[in-house]
Amino acid sequence: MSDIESTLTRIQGHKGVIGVIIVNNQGVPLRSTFEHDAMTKQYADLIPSLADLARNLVRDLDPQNDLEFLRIRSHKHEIMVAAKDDFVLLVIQDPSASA
Amino acid sequence: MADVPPDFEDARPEDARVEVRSTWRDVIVGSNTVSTETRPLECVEIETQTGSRDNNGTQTDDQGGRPPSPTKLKASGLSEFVQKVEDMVAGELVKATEEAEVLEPFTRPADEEQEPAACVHFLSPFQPDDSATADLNATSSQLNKHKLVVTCLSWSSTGQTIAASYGRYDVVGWCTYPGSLTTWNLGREEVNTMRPDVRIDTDTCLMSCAFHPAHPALIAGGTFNGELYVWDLSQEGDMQRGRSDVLLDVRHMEPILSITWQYNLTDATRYGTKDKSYRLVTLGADGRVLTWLWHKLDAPIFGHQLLFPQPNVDRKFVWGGSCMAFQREPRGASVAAASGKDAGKDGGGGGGGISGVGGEGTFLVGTEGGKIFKCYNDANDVNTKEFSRAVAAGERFDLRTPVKEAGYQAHAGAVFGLDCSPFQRDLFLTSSTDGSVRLYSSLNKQPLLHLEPTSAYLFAVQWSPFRPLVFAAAAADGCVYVYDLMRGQEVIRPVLTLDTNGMRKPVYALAFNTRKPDLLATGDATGIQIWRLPSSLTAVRRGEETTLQKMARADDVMEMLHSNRRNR
Repeated sequence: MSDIESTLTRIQGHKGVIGVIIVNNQGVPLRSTFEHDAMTKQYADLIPSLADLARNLVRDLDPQNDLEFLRIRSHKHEIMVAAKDDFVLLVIQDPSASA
Repeated sequence: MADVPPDFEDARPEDARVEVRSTWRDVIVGSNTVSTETRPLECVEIETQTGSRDNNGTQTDDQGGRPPSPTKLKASGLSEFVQKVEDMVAGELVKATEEAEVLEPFTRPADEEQEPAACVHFLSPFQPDDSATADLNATSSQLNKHKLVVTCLSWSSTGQTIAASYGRYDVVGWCTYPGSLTTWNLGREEVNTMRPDVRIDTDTCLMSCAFHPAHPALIAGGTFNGELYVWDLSQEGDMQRGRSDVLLDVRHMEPILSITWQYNLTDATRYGTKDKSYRLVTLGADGRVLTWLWHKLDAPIFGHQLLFPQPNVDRKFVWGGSCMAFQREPRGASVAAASGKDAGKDGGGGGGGISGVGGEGTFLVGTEGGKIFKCYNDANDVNTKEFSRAVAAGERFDLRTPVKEAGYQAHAGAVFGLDCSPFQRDLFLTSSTDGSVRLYSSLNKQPLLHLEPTSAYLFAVQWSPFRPLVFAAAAADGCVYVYDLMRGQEVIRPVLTLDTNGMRKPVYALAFNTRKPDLLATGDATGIQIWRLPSSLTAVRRGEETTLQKMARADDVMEMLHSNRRNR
């Protein structure tokens, strides 16, 4: 378990990272660096279905292709989604925040 | 039948009967009567009884350890997944920061150019003054006989309807002019700019109006004589839902200049409905701040009076208030943890961060003398019960003062516009008749910024509800000055100037639409103009909120803004 924690700490230490969440395929958040559960729950409810849609899109276009990474850039921050096996890793980052 | 030549005389054939054969009745259905009966059931009675009894119980024992956390269930798959994904994610994070740095100068708006705002509607319930275009068929109510001007504007909670209250500012003594409340629904395809959708006439000038933040049809209005009305625009016929009592001791005796709907947690839990969870707080020119329940307007439930000593004088005087604004908690969904508020704000937001929850009754009042007071409205259950009891018993008592802090550097003229930032609790703007707009933090006595867009009086100022660093000020020379503090400028100047009427008639009111980012309404002596703002003033920019937070803590705002611009 400690290597998971150390990995999360490494990711969290990148410039501008606001939070990291790991969600399983049922939408249950497994790890989260947010203090408020409401925030975690919102992301965990909404993002995995979007990742599935994106994966379906990629595979419909080319069955041998697969989704590697999904990035959503909004006015305020950037959401990075890595979906593999049965888990989804979300990182929320504000790239313009000064370290 | 044989062809009969048309014969239009009355004729009665001998055999006046027509035979048409039935097409469906050919077989007569036969019927038979049969009865059935169930065979008798066989019943047997048997008794049982337990021979011996035994007691037994079960119970789960608390093992004393932590409950099995579901996170450990799929632990094995989790660590491999994280290992596989980590490098990719780290690479993407670095790429994102690099991209942001490289692309940032292109996303910043060019400092020199600014697209203009377009006036999409000009609304007026009255005919224009110049007789050249006067319509001879205009009814008498369409002529602005009493030269009424727009005193206050309010957008409805859905952002579709704009309401304007009409009154006069130059009344001496008792007000004999009528006032009116006019609303237009801009969501319709055909907006009739000469005829308001709803027009309610009051017997004295209407000086302020405010829509309910959650109910799209409730609107409160305050008159020159200090009466408070509440109307429900969705009702047919008589829309008045309440009217304050004019014979009470505890009421406003001078014009009601500011009305705010304040969310209250106890009301929300007691009544349950969204519309009853808000209370009305009114500020009158007599220096009284009264709290009302809008559905029981016969008496206020609490009141304050702005008592504060004049400098060098021992006795406290009543100061006449001219504008009021409540401090607003920033929306709880902001991801930045710099606000430092706890998770309770997410649920307590209620009306979407419009006003504080429950006891958060801190508000700021600007006075005609130029002073600014920071006050606290402690209308909690104990106080309101005591107050209502005293009012019902007809006792005379003195209203207490809500003033907590009055050391802010005063304006040279009357403060007519005051607005608290929806993104930062402590920052607020004031505008006064000395022609200056000042940005204060409620924690500092000195203003953080002092801007002078014009030498004319300034009547109103408001923060943009969408961009934390944009605000607009309405002036007596007919112009509305829009500032954007995000632009790096050596000297802070208005980025956009809207000339509302071209005749230098004062603009008395302005209101941003809280649902539609690009609509701004301004009201003056000729009517109401609805402007569509360019996207550079409505789209949120990165890092804007952090700049605002920094501004609240900065000692020298100009220096902070310049260094911000240099660092970018």
